[in-house]
Parts: sequence; C-alpha cells; structure tokens
Amino acid sequence: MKTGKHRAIALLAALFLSAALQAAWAGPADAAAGPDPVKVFAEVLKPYSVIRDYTVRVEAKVRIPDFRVPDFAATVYFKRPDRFHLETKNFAPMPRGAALFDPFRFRPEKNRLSWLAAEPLEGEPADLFRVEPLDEKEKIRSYQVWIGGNPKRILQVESLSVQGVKARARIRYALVRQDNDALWLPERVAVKMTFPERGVRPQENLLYGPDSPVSRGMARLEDLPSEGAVEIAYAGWSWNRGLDDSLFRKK
Amino acid sequence: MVRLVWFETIKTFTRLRTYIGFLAFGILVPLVVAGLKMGGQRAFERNLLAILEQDFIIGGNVLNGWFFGFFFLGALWVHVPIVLTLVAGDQIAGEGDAGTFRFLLTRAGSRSRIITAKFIVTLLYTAAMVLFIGVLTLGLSLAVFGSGDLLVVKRGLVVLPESGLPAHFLLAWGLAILSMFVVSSLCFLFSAFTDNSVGPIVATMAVIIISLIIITLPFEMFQAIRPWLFVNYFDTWQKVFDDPIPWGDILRNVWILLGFTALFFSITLAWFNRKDILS
Repeated sequence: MKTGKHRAIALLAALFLSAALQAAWAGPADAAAGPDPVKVFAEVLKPYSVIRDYTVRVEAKVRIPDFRVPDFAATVYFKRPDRFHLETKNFAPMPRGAALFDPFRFRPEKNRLSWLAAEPLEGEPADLFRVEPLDEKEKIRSYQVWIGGNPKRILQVESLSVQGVKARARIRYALVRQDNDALWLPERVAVKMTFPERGVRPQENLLYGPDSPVSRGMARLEDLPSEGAVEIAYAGWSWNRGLDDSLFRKK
Repeated sequence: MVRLVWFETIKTFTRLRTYIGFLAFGILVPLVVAGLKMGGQRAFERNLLAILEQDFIIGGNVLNGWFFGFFFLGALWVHVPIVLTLVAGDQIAGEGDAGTFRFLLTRAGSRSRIITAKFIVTLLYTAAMVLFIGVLTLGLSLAVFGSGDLLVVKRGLVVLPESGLPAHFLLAWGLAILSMFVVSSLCFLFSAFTDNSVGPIVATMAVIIISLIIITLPFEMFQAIRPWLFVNYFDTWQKVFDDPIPWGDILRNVWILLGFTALFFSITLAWFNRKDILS
C-alpha cells in the first residue's frame, strides 16, 4: 500500500518534470509556430556580410501633400556599422526605415526578433517577422519584415518611428555583379508613409502664430499631413571601395 | 521735374541721417551672419530639422544661403520701417524745422511739383534701402553658407529648386519695396503735418506697431478690421515662395499697397498745398 502510494507520487512528479522540461525545450507557444527568426535573418543577411561600404545613386520622388519637394537625385554612401551620407545639392529627405538599404540593421544580436505569421505578399509566399531594436536610442521603435523569395530576401519592411510615423517600404531587387561577387540589391523601393495626428501645438507667442504676418517667414514646421508616398530608384551599385571616414563626418 | 528730383536727391543723399540705416544694417547683418556661422545655425537645425529628422534622413545643404536670405527678409522687415522713417520723416518736416520752406517755395516750382519731387526721392531711398538689405543679407549668406534648394516652412513644407530662386528673390524684393513704400508715404504724410521730424517717425512706428498688434490678436473684432490695415499686406513678398504662387492674391495685394501709397501721397499733397508756411 505504502509502495503504491510512493509510486503514484513518483509518477506524478515525473509527469510534472517532463511537462516542465518539454515546455522549456519548446519555448513560448507563438515562437514555436514558425521558422526560427534568428536563423532566417542570419540566412538572409549572410550574402551581405561581404559589404564593408557601398555607394549607390538614387533618384527619388516625394509625393506628400503639403510637403512639396521636387524630384531629386543623390549619391548614397554607406559604411559599416550604420553610417550614411547623402551627397546632393538638392533637399533630399529619405524616409527612415527601409528607404536606405542597410543590410545590417536587422542583425539578430542587435534586435529582438519574432515570427508573426506566414503572410504572402502579392501572391508570393512570405513570412512576417517583428523586429524590435534593442538600442533604446533608435529612432525606429519596431519593424515588421516580410521575408520570402528565392533566394530568401527582405521583400517588404514596415517601420514604426518613435514619433508614430509608419513607413511601409516594398523592395524590388536586381542581381548586381561586381568583380566575382553577385548580390541581390534594391532596384526600386516604394514607400508609403502614414503620419499620426499630433494634435495642435500650443501657441507659445501670439506674435509667432501661424497667422501672424510677423512670423510667417520663419514659422516652425506644422504637422505633416496624414499620408504620402516616396518612390526611390537605385542604380550604379558599387561596394567595398574603401570609403573614407571623413565622408561621414557631419559638416 | 527731373531737375527738381535731382536737386532733392542731392539734398537727401548728402545728409548724414540718410546713411544711418545703411550703416546700421551694414553692421547688423554681418554680425548676425557671423553669429549663425559660429553656432547659431545649430538652433535652426534643432528647431527646424529635428522634427523632420525623426522620420527622414535629410541630404543636401538645407540651411544654405538662400534659406538665411529668406529668413533675414522675414525677420527684418518689421525693423526696416524704423530706418525708412528717419529719412521720410525729415523730407518735409526737416524743411520746416530749418526754416527753408519760404526760400524753397519762392522758386518757380509749384508746391505740388516740389512735394512730388520729395516724394519720388523718398521712394528712391526706400527702394535703395530694401535692395541694400536684400542684396547684403542674401550675398553674405550665400558666401558663408553656400547654395542649394530653398526650404520654406509654413503650414507644411515647400522646397523650391535653386535654379528658380534668383527670380523668386527679385520678385520678393520688388514686393517688399512696395510694402515699404506705404510706410515711407505714411511717414511722408505725417512729415507734412509738422515741423519736427521726430514726430512723424514716432507716429509712423506707433501706427505700425498698433496695427501689427491688432492683426495678430485673434479677437473677432480685430480680425474684422484686419483687411483695412496696410500692415496686413506687408507679407505679400512671402507669397512668391508659395507653391503654386498665388498670382491672384499677389496682384490684389499689389493694387492695395499701391492704393495706400497713392492715398497717403494724395492727402500729403492736399494738405501741403494748403499749408501755412509763413507763420
């Protein structure tokens, strides 16, 4: 009788233990449902690990109401780990997030990655991931990243800035060859931006209100409109040309 | 008439007070540009670009000479009337104060012709002053901060390509001159009322300051009288930097500014023709 009772307790303990072990092994339920994000991102970013710096010409069209910017061209310089320089005489606003190609932005060691769903993109199978930068100083709060295609690459990125601006960038690639390397690099990026309502800024000084003829010439930027689009075409990729650090110093 | 204008021009431009404005802005503008270069530019970056840089990576020379030329034009036109009144206020009152009216009016020229000549010279001085400030601010700013597209921030943002900016600025200066013509003609009018040139200066500035307060305060009663005050049209030059340019509004404002100038000059003429210069 006593032996039977001991057996039952031992069996119960074994059951609890095995259940706990299984749960620990499997991790959280949602993470177990899809591919391992760390592996996927490592696979996607691996071809770009050869890039130490790059240069590319961009031509962009900004179509945001009340944000009238003429079409512009610029040369983008990038150097690892995350330095950008836009060289142009024009006023060139490029949306943060995915408009500027940064292959190292989504490195697993710099972000919290999680798989969200299998979500086809324009009929193409893709996995949707959530990426949260670990650095609290980042201007982007989080990303949603669609990965698909063959070879696997980032098809679409939706970034949410600290200010609450959403920028959804659809990326189309071209195979670019340089010497013995060949990389899938962006050819066109179409960014759709959604600006949040920011409320009415308190008027600090009546003389400097937006309706004052005293200050209209030096008014501050009012709230941006609700939606807009930016289209960017990339051409003339070249990488690992040994860009000088001085290029990235703020003048 | 041309001889009279020439005579008045010599009189005006041989007086020291005519150059006070040129001297003041000749010192002030380089000082401000130097201040901007030595760190003041960062205040603009913080206030203007920081909002944009939250969501955009900005390329190009944004805070360039055109930008500061535009900024100066916007910031200084409230102060320009002060120096304009120094000369405009002295044109008629100065003669009364010096006791030279009787001598002047014994010549062949009629009162109307003499006053018209004085008025033309006042307008010439006004145009010269505005152009001096415009060319000085823009020239210095371009020399120090370089060129690029012009970023205009109002309700939203307009970027004007550099290629069209000389034309925009020439037109803006033209409209700024027209606005300042109203100030000078008002001061010229006040100058006809008195023999002391300080009075017209103070009176003109008082009118401008009170008008500015009235059009700025968001009270319903003040807003109703806003269209009747000439300072309401002072910012017409800024419309040149809108996209698209509201030509209809600009043309209407040009007529209004010309109307105010003509009105003030007509009253001056009428008053001066009846003015007792013997007592």
